[in-house]
Amino acid sequence: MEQEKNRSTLKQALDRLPQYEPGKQLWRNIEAKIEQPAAGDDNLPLAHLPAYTPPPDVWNNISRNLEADKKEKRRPLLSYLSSRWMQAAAALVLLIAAGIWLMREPGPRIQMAYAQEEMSQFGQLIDWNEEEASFERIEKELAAANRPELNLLKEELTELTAAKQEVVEMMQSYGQDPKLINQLGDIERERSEVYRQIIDQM
Amino acid sequence: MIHKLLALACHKTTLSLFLLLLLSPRLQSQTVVQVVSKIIEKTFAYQDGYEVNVEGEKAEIFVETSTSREVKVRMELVAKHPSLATAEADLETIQFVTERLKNKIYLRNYRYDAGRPAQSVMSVKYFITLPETCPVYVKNYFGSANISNLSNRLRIFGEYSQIDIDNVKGLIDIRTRFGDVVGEKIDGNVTINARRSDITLLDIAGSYTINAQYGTLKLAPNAGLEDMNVNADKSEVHFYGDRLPNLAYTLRTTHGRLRTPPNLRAVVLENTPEIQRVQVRPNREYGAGANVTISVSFGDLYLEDATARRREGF
Repeated sequence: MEQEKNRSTLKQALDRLPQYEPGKQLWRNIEAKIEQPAAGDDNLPLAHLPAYTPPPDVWNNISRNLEADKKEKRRPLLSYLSSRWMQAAAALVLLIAAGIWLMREPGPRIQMAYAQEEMSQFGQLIDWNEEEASFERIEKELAAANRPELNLLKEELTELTAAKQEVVEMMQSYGQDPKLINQLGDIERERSEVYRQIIDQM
Repeated sequence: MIHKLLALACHKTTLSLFLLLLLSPRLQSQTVVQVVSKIIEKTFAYQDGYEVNVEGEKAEIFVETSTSREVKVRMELVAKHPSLATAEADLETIQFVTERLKNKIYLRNYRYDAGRPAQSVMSVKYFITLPETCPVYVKNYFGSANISNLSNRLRIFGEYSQIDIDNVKGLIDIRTRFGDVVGEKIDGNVTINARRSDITLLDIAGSYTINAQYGTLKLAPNAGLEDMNVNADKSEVHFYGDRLPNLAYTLRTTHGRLRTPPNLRAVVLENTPEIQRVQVRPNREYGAGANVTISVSFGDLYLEDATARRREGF
């Protein structure tokens, strides 16, 4: 877009232009004419347009149609069931709904109960991994040796180590239960036995 | 005077005992815990063709039968901790499912927030009552399963879970790892695959296929035994056949001992430092008996008599 270069000169010129206003009486005359239409208005072309009155049947028909519409809108829901097919379909829908409602399996009943009891050694810290360094060392030695007669024991040790890990994870998940401690003890005894066998054979 | 002395002595003894009990380490390690239990109960209408499918996690599962055509379930989720709020919060992390989808009734529990260690000691119990003809599948990871009186189909997959079955008939399939199996009064077509698990079966009839590694097997059949095939590796097998003179045995050990009772006429088929193999024909007067084939590698096999059985308390 091009910018006006002599903006201030133009502004000054515009300000100097003469100003004109309509005479004060002019608006009053206009208002007076609007409020009191002139006697000659009948001469306007609109006033000479012919007027037609519709025959009475037209209004009667319109009235009848309006009545019919009203009646149709007010038709009760049950009136649709006049047809036998509609009745049968409605009955079927009702039966299916009732069947589903009756056949549904309600959700479980849940109750809470509170009590107190004494537990021995709750949350006792047990270090299961005291000897883990020895097991890791022997596993490394077995891997390095790769002797067929020892590999079977190595597999056994690996299986028992994985089992120990599973028991430890279960303890973390469901707490340090005495039964889990017993299971861990059993696995540790088996691991120790395998460890001894490995040492003997090495 | 004597009376007073006796009373004083009694008083001192009571006081000493009280102090002893108070200071004993056992008593000191007792902790009062809040026990919060959530009990869930649901009953399903039973129809032929339904199966109950239980998937427990550290759960004790009890399955029993009734004449009612319903499957009734009661689950108990329990959390114990000295703080009530902690026990309640931990309990909420155990999720459960009790629902029927088509012809399977699923019952399940699992930790919702398994990554977060629980501070409480938690346990889960299932008490399930169902018609005896209802097939049952139990999968349990830790915990135990006690199942009795079923007569159709039972499948169990247990890991670190003790399995007890009593008076069960039909098609039975058990797979277990690190979980012992104890069965009594079992009759049917039975398959057991066990690893690092002991198997004790008493008063059993029917047909058996057992594969076991790293376990002790004790098998005591009754006159209803039809067939038994045992393959055991790094295991010890005791077969109590004293009441069954009409059985036909084929027994073999590799790198292990094989012992039969002296009164049994065993025919030695192989006897090397590595392999021992014997065959025992059934006593003709009892007719053709069931075949018992047991093969053990890296373990011992004992065919035992009444003395050994009584010693074991069978």
